[in-house]
Amino acid sequence: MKNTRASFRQLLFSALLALPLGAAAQEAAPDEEDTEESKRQLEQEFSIGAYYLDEDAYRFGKYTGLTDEGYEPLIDFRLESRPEWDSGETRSWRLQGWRLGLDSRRVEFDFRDQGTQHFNADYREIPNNRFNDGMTPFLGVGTGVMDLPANWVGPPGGTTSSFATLEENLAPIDVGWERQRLDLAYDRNVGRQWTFSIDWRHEEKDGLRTFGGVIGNSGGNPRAVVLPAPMDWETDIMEAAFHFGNPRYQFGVALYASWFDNGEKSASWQNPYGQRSGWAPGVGFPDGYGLYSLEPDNQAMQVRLYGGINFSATSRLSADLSFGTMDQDDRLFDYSVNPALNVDIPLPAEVLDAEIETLHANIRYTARPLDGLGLVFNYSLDERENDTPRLVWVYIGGDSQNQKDPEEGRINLPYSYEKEQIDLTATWRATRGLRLKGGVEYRDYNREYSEVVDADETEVFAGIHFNRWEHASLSLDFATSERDVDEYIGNRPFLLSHIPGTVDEDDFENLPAMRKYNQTDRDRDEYRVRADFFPSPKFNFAIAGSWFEDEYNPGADDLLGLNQAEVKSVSFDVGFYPVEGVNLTGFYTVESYDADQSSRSWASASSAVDPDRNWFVTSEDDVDTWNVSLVFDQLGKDKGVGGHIELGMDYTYSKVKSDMDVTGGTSINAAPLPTLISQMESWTVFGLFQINRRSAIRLSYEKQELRTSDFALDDVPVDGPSNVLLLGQAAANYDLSLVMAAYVYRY
Amino acid sequence: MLLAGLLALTATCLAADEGAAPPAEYSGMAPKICLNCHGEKGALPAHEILMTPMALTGDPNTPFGEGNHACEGCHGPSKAHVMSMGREAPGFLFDETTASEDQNAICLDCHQQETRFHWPGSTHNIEGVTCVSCHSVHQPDDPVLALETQPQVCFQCHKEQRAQFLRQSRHPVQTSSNAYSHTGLLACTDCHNPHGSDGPGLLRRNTINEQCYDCHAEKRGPYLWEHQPAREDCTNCHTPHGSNHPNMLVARSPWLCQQCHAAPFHPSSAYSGVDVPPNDFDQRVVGKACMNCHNQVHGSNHPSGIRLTR
Repeated sequence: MKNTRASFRQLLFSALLALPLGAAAQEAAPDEEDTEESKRQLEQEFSIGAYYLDEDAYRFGKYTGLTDEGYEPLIDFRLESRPEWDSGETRSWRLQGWRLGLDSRRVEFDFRDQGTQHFNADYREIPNNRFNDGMTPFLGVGTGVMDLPANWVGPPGGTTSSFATLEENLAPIDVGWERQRLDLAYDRNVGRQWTFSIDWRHEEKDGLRTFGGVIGNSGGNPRAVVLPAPMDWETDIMEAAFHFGNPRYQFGVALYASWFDNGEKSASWQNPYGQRSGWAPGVGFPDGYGLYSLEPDNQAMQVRLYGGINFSATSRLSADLSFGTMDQDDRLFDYSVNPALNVDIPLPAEVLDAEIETLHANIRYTARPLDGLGLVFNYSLDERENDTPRLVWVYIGGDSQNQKDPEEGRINLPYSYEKEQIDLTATWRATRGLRLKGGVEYRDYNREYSEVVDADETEVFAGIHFNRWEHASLSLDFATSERDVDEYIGNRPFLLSHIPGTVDEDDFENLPAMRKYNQTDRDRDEYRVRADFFPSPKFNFAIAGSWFEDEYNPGADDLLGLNQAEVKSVSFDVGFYPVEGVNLTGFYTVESYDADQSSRSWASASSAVDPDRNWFVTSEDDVDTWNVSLVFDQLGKDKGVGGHIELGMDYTYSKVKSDMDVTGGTSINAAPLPTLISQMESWTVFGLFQINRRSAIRLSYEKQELRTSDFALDDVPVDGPSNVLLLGQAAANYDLSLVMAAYVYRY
Repeated sequence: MLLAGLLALTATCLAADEGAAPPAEYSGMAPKICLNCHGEKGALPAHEILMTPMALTGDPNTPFGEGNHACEGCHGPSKAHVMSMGREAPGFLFDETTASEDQNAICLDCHQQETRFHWPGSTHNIEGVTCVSCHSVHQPDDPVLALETQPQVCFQCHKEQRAQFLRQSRHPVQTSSNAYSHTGLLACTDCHNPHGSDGPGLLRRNTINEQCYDCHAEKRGPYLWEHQPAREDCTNCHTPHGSNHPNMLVARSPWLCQQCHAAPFHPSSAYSGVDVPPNDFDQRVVGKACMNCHNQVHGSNHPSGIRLTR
């Protein structure tokens, strides 16, 4: 079948290449110089040709769909009708298609009756190919039920090495998915100042993703398998709005609604591991199954009211208020899929009736009271009130044990939060070409069921932008902020998730010294600088740099977690245009991401306070990114339209090198991790050869090499870990060439 | 006191507006007289304006609509400019000699759609960005309005994002206009509204998570067992423009998870080079690391999913 397909593609490719020759011969007549026809803008365009890839490279085509060695058709088109500017007509339309022969195809239709109405339909397919070198012994891949083959061997107490028939049962799988997305948008002017708009998006997402499935509870008995989980999702989003706008007043009302539907509500798998201690009878192979729930259907609705008034050309007050709900009421699964397990206490609810109410408000006042002085005062509120009921769930650990005692039940924590922000920004154009900026921002956080209830953050920022010089401009920006928490109680979620009285106030699960970085004290500094130079119209260059630093729990060396993070970046850009039609541009960006974190390896009350069990990770990502592009777009121009040539080359290089060093106290056995490398190098040569006014040949050759190393994937067989059966894919690597040839016809 | 301050500011602004200069004269000959000099072969060619929606005379709201003075509708009364054969400046210049607020006011005089509601006081407004910094209003196809060419416009200032979109884990935004492998399927404006918004980072939605839910609606829940940082802010763990780590994570797992989790036994253990090939295949480091078992990091809706494994 594959050979037949390849032959068809070769035939198609040959036919496509023959097309331009025929067309060129047909149009060999002299150009219609200086006729009305020759001056008419050519609006319709068809490109037909082929891509040729010289080796299979699933990952290369991650987003394009160019994955298989051989030919793929290239079909692009653009059909358009624009009225003459002075014809009095207002209607125009455009129908355009891109990459119709690939899985990344897109078609857009746009109709505009200018000043009255506008309609747009945009269909896109977006592939996301992850890997195709994985393997699994499971049958039923792509469905919600995955069984093992009849000859599977999973002896009691065994690990992955005991799966005697694993190798003979491994089958390859392609992991990835594709979105099919249709956007429809219509807006209509209702009178001179009113607009009604409605947008609808329908999206389907199908494919396979990886999902870890574990059976077991504690004490070293969990056994896991990485599975190809099904993806069968549909999402609809609707937005409708009435808007009134004139230079003095603007206001409106809008409705947003989203519906998500999951075609697969769960995935279950037959336990490949034999019965072991700590598991209730009937959990191991062949009778035991595991099941995880997949994402429930959900809905969201939001109503927005907004209005603004311009008191004058220099002062304005606006307000924007949105309130909405997000909810889901999918039927809940049983505590376990395994019928052999004892379940005495029923679920506290058949459906969760989960709901979050949202409120978002913004009030903004802007003014320019003096020439050059601008002021912005802003207040915003973001509130998420989670009204999901709090219930006691007497759960079963990993489909592997009989139901726990009622007092061991746990209570869900429907997190809520509220954020308020007030900020004042002033800009001052001191003289022509000198602009100053400064301001202060205050944020207040309030959370429920979290380690921290109240926190606040104050930020001060300033900047200067100078473009007074004829051949240069310069800007500098600085910001510093301090986040303070009132009280960090590390075991608050732990206590709140237990039935009152079943745990002591001092009990904890997370180490008391651990501080979660999204909630704890933080000092943040940010600097930015940018300089642009334009010594001549033929040459320009720019330098831009930034430095961010986050310091967590400043002054508290005994606390654990993320301690510090730093990002540095410098970019150089250059543009050189020696003569008309020659464009040389390029950039180089060097970045560094550093982070330090600490923790303590512990398993008992004594080890929880033993500093010799502390460990530290220092990570550093160094990134180099290059691009150079040289384009000649006026070659052969003196020969008229026919003979005109555009030629160019593009070189892109991106290399990320990640180093992690783990060190620890005397009780810790640690060593640096292997360096993670990700290096992509791409050469492209491209050209457009104009045969005559209507016909052209477009050619390109791209050579791309990807080299990645990943210690979590490379040289790790499917049964490498004793207690996890993996898919066994390696990090992506390829070195390939892509040739594209197309005949372009305009009329 | 705050209200009194705002009222005083507004009064000051109203008083300042009264001192506006008297209007200059229109040439009455645009666009033909203008294109005599600004034609295809002239200095500062602007002839392609005639192929844009701005020039349709059939739409009374365009600058070329009847009585709207065509080129001078935006460039201001320019009789002196015309009569002096260009020695005098036109009525209004869209360059660094004119304050960005004044330049933008010309455009906003007509473009009062909902998407520009938050422009005043927005990040780009405060930074002095002008409409013509991004828009090529004289071109028939404005590059910033097309999915494939828009990122190159944004990258002129946002250089870090330009580099991030060349990482292996990224959203499909076009990073090169010439390489087919860099084909873009999303534009910056799929997530951001550069004209201003009510959300952080000029996102189109009110919050980061609401923005992400537009394309990742399955993550919305609400779930029975929530993961607090995921419920609050996706960027606690993900960096949406591109990362060297799988799934656009800000760091590698298990260490990313261990920046918050230090429960007894395996969650707090030190994982390092001794746990990976060729030394070992530790189940908490290789494969999907923590997610080999804790697969529901965005939340679980299973009654037994408290450990986010169901």
